[in-house]
Amino acid sequence: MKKFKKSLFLILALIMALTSLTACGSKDDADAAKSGEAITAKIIEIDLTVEEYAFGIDKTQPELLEQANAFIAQIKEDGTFDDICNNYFGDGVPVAVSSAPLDPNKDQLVVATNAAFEPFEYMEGDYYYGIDMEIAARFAEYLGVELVIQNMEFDAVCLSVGQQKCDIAMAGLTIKEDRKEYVNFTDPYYNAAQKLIIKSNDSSFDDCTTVQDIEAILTEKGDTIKIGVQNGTTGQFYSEGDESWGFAGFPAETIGYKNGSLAIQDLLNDNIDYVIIDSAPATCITESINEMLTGSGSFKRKVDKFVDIFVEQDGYKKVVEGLKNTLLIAVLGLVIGILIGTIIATIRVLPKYKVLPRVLNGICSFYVGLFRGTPIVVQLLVFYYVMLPIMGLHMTGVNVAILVFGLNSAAYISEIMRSGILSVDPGQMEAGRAVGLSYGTTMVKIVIPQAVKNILPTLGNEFIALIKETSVVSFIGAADLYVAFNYIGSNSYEFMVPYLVMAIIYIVLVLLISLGIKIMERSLRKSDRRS
Amino acid sequence: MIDVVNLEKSFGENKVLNGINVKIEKGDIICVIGPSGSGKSTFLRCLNCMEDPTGGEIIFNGVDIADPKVDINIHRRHMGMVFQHFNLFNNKTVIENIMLAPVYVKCKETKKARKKDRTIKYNKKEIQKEAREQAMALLERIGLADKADVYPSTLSGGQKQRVAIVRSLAMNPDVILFDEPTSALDPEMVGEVLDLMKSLANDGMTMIIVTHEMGFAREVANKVLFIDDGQILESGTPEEFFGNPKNPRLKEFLSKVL
Ligand SMILES: Nc1ncnc2c1ncn2[C@@H]1O[C@H](COP(=O)(O)OP(=O)(O)O)[C@@H](O)[C@H]1O
Ligand SMILES: [Mg+2]
Repeated sequence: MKKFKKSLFLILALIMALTSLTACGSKDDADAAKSGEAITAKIIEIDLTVEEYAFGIDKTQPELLEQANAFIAQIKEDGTFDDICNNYFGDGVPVAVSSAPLDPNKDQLVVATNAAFEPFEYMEGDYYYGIDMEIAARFAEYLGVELVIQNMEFDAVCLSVGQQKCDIAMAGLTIKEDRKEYVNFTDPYYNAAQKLIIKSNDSSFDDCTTVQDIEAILTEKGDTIKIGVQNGTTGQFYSEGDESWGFAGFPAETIGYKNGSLAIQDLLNDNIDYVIIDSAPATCITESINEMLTGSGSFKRKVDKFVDIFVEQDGYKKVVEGLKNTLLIAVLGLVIGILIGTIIATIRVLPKYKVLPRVLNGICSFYVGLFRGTPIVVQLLVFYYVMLPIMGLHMTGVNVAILVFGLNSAAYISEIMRSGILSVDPGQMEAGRAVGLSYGTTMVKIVIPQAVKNILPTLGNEFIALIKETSVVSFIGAADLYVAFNYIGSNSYEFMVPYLVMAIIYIVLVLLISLGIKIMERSLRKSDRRS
Repeated sequence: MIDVVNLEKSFGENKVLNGINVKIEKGDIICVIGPSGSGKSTFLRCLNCMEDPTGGEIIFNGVDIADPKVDINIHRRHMGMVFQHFNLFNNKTVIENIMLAPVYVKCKETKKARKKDRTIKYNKKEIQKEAREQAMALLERIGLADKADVYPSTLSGGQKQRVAIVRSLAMNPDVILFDEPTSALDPEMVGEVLDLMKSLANDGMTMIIVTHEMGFAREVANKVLFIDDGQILESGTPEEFFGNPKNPRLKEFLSKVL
């Protein structure tokens, strides 16, 4: 009961924090109104670089490359391409594209993309939109196969095609030398440019007319400024400098973001000074963010936007899906962890005067050292991008996450379990052996049940840690809670409310689990005293 | 029944048992006495290979169980053991403590037999029911039938030790080994445990008992062993052993404890 009150208090505190934020927001607006205008983001309309977008094709499929080139030529020729562009830059209406489920037995075109790059690729509900996505739909139709779209981090797009997890990368991909290691590029289909985005009250670039003017000012500012970019995009190479592109770079510190809207958000939060991203998405993002900033009750607008996406655009479905995956990974991971961890712990407490136990013990120590000595993210990445391709296996991100979290927590649980086993009176083992039970039987029937009771609180903490750690599984494309809220965030160009709601969900989850553990402990203790 | 030949045991450099020879016949009640640290427990624990002997032989019903190749678990089922600190299974109720091993062994044996002879039926419920009846009978014998379903943590020391004794009895062993069964008890509970052991002795159970209860040894044992420095320095019937001790160390020991 006390615990319950505590949880209630915590949630109340959170709600109060939220309300005060709203209040804060309206005060900001009042201040802004006094000083004239709210600070927004503005784009300097000068192309910093000009580059060509193309699709990246799996190197083992040269015939697909030929078909793609023929197709690009055809849609440029017959005006289809201009029609598609008009849906996003002109007065056309974007067309929804849906993805079929992946099925290795069917003839499918598997497209790798990063659907957070409006207007080339983005999502609304379960549907994909964007220039690349519409081209993908028509290309699949042209080939006479089903379209499957795999949404992942931009960094992973080329890699996954290189590893033949996908057939073609369609992600606003600039033709670039080092990407040719992974993919074969088609003929270019679009010329893109990088643009500089600054705060509306910054007039340093007002007099610029050429790229050289801008570059001179940025260079002159030296290393005291910070430039935000989207990870892995041309803007990053341009800002940091890159020989293969011929970019000299700037002395400024370059800060990478997962997507352009996070970068611009951070610019407006005063954490960085400039943003350099692709011109087409830059326009969309700035418009949306500015729209939300100007006018009154900005926090309320953020909440409204969140509610809109959450309810109207099926955002809740993503959140439910994400919650399901998060719990699935944590619960199954814990189960695997307890099973393997118990086996390891049993081996490690085995008497060591024979050879076999010593060898097994060595293997287990190595295993535990390996998993405790590397970060979980590294384990996920190595397993997904190194081990699976080597073994020639295909597994979904969620399944890999369950497995890796299981193996990882096994290492920790084995140590917990070992101390639990050691805390059981050795007389229990002796008594079991004395009535003629084997070591293993005594372990399973007598020692481990008592050990588990001793370590239950620690095991509960491990579960809580596990739930929280699962928030990194998006690295291998598993759609957990973080991915769900990130989706809502990148669709609204507003991350404050989604991330806050995500934090609340995690807190509620953890409180529920702690409550469950308390109840379990109490009932176990009762069975102790029963008379 | 048990023939101990030149039994030796070392823990690393420390030689604890130094060539023990003794013959134990069916129905024998043997009390083992000696100073603390002399190797009494080690001797007892070597008899059922809780400690693996480092030399010599232990011929139990014609098999040398000191040989590491024999399946010791099978032989242990015919040798009960009762510990100083009772060692009841804390996660099992009193009756489960008594039933656990009989049910497990019976199930295993029946399954094995069934592999050879398909006409044998395997019915776990039936086996459990029989074991429960037997366990209840044992609990009634020690007057603890009402405690069948409680956990050991709620019992007194004397009750625990009596349950521990019937737990080993439930396997119908050929011999029961006792390692100071009353040393951890409050004085007022020693009597009830010794009474139970006496009643086992009257039933003809073979028992080997490490004890400091000289009165009990004199009254119940048919042979008393004095162990010091890992050797049997004197053995005999209680009358000669206590009435006319020859070994000077035994004399000294008796003068201290009597
Ligand atoms: N597991 C063990 N490891 C090392 N030394 C042991 C072990 N068990 C007993 N000993 C040693 O063997 C000697 C005899 O012990 P024990 O048989 O318990 O004596 P007693 O029961 O007669 O008091 C003691 O010196 C003790 O330290
Ligand atoms: Mg002892």
